[in-house]
Amino acid sequence: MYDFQNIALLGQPNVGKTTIFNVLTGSSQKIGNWPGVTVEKREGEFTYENVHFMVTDLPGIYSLNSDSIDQKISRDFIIKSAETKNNVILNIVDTSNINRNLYLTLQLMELGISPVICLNLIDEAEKSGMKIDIKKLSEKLQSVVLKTSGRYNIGIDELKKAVYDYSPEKQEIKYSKLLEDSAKVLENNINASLIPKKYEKISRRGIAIALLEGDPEFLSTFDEDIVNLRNNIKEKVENEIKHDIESYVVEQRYKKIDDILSEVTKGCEFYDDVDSIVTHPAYGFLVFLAVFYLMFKFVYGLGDVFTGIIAGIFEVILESLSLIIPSAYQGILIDGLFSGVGAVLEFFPLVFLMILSLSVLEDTGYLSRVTALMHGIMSKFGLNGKSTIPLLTCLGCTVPGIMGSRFISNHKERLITMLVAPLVPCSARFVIIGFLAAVFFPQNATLFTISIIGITILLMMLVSYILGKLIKGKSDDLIFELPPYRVPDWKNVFKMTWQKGKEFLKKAGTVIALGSVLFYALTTYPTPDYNYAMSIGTIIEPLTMLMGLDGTAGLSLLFGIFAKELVVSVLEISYSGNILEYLTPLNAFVLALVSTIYIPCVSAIAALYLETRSLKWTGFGLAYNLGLATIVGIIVHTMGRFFGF
Amino acid sequence: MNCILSKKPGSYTVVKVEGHGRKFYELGIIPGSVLTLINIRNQGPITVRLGNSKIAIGRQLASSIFVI
Repeated sequence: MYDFQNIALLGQPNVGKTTIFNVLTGSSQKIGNWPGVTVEKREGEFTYENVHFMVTDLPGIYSLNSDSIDQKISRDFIIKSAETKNNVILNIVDTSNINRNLYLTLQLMELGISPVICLNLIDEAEKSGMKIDIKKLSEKLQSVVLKTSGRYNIGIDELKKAVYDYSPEKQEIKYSKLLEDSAKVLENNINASLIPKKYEKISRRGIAIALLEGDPEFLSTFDEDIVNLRNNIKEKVENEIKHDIESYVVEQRYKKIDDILSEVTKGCEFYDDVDSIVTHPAYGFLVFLAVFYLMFKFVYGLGDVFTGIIAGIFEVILESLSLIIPSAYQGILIDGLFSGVGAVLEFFPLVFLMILSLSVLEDTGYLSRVTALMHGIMSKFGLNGKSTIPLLTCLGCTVPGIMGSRFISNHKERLITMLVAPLVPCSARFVIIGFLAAVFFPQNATLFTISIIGITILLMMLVSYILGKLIKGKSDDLIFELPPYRVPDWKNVFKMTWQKGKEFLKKAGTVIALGSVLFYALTTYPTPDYNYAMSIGTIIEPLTMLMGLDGTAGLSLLFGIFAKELVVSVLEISYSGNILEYLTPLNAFVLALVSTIYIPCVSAIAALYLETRSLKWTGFGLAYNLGLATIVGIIVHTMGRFFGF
Repeated sequence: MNCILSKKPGSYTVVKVEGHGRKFYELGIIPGSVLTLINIRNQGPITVRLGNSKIAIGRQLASSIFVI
């Protein structure tokens, strides 16, 4: 027994792996990135019987082949952990899809790794009438098999004990004679000196099967002689079976799984028919519209209540602070810092509720239906159905939206998604829209909001259509699993929402606080009547006047680059609460529109650069945003004046 | 044997999968597996059910699945 052990969680997507990770590690989690790539890495720890366990959550993958970055990460990690004894691979299996899930399990065993197998989501399966003879399954797989449910805390203690007691077993799971014989020939010809150091610890049989299957990474790292021998064997086998060896290997695995499961499971089919409506070309869209209408209704309806409460509390705080703080600092602290931050914090409920709603929709499985539903339309605009979710995420914040585009494997479609992402109004821009709507259009706030969103969405489609024509490269078709509908895991949903919401609070606490103070200083010094802010305002006024906006409003846009919420802080500070006297409703509409379209905030610019790794594309993204905002601002202002607003 | 794109919703057995093998294999779409076509339209992906899992497949990829 070691005084510490490593555990790696491996499983296919949507098997409830993260929930297991959460119950095992609790609050000890660290979230970072895998070295050199932008794939999320989660680590955590727990102690059981005085043994310290380090847990790593590997990316969810369907198989151990090396076609995608997620697969490479997981496979390299597993191959590496085969070197030392104190490593346990926890193979999480979705019980209701056990036959497909065991595919990954068999691949693990081919590499000589002996996993602990969790039949997860067992509650769902058993409730639906599925019966599993776990003892028999354990015998057939020659492994430890446990029933678990992360959500209902089923089998978690047994799981900890199993990892504590873990000792690797030698699995003897064999495929057809033809495949085994072929693998044996290859195996016998691979002597130790020919094996790249990386693969030294994994089983020779596993290497041989991977070569036969034509795994690109194995084929490219092995010696030419070995690859030639593999090609000879492949030809021989294919002559015999009359089709390709790659699919033969796959069929053998599935056949073995059928074999294993034949006397083990009963009552395997249970599914719902909801998708014949939800992904239906016509009804599906109605559902989509209804869901998002309700979501916005919920966010704004409930958000307004909380916003009112927070505004009230802030007012009381400001009043009592003005009694305590010496008058010399009152200006900068109360009119600058607290008013600026306060104006933004009032909208925290909106941000929070928006993130919460998207997490809930994701957790129920609905968002992936949206992907399927929207692919037909999105692909007409140079995008991919998969762009829908990152773009919807942008409704919360552009930064995770841009980062969320990672799973779009096609370069061109991913680039376009990232470039148009800033055109989706994020919650910070909803703060501006909400603020201006409340002041200028209290009766028609929803209409005001919808027209701003409508215009920007139209612009987004236009821009992506043009980019689709301009940027070279082919578009990919898609294939993906629609996860089963599930009641959201509320604990997880709130945890994720709180984590993301905290980011917003941090930003409000730092960038916005600093920006508010800086802005107050600029408007007060050298003298309040002739200050730096006015000078800057005068410089940009000729341009902003074309959009009907005075220097102050122009200045607010400039500050909005640091964080879009600052637009509101600046308006609040410089018009000292009497904004109605300075701006017309048309001005407000143009301001809301322009601030939604022009340059995203610094964090989004940074994200765009980090994800594209290209100054050229980052620069392009900024330039077109700015140009588009100016042109749209001028057009809307001119038209508005023409129609007498 | 017909391409799945020419079918109406219902259950079919996969006979052949052309090209793009691995992505299909991983999801269990192999010769002999039974697919239930849930939704199909003139454009956009089709949705199918395989066992207890549902899969969305783009038209271009779906055109290489042949069923009876």
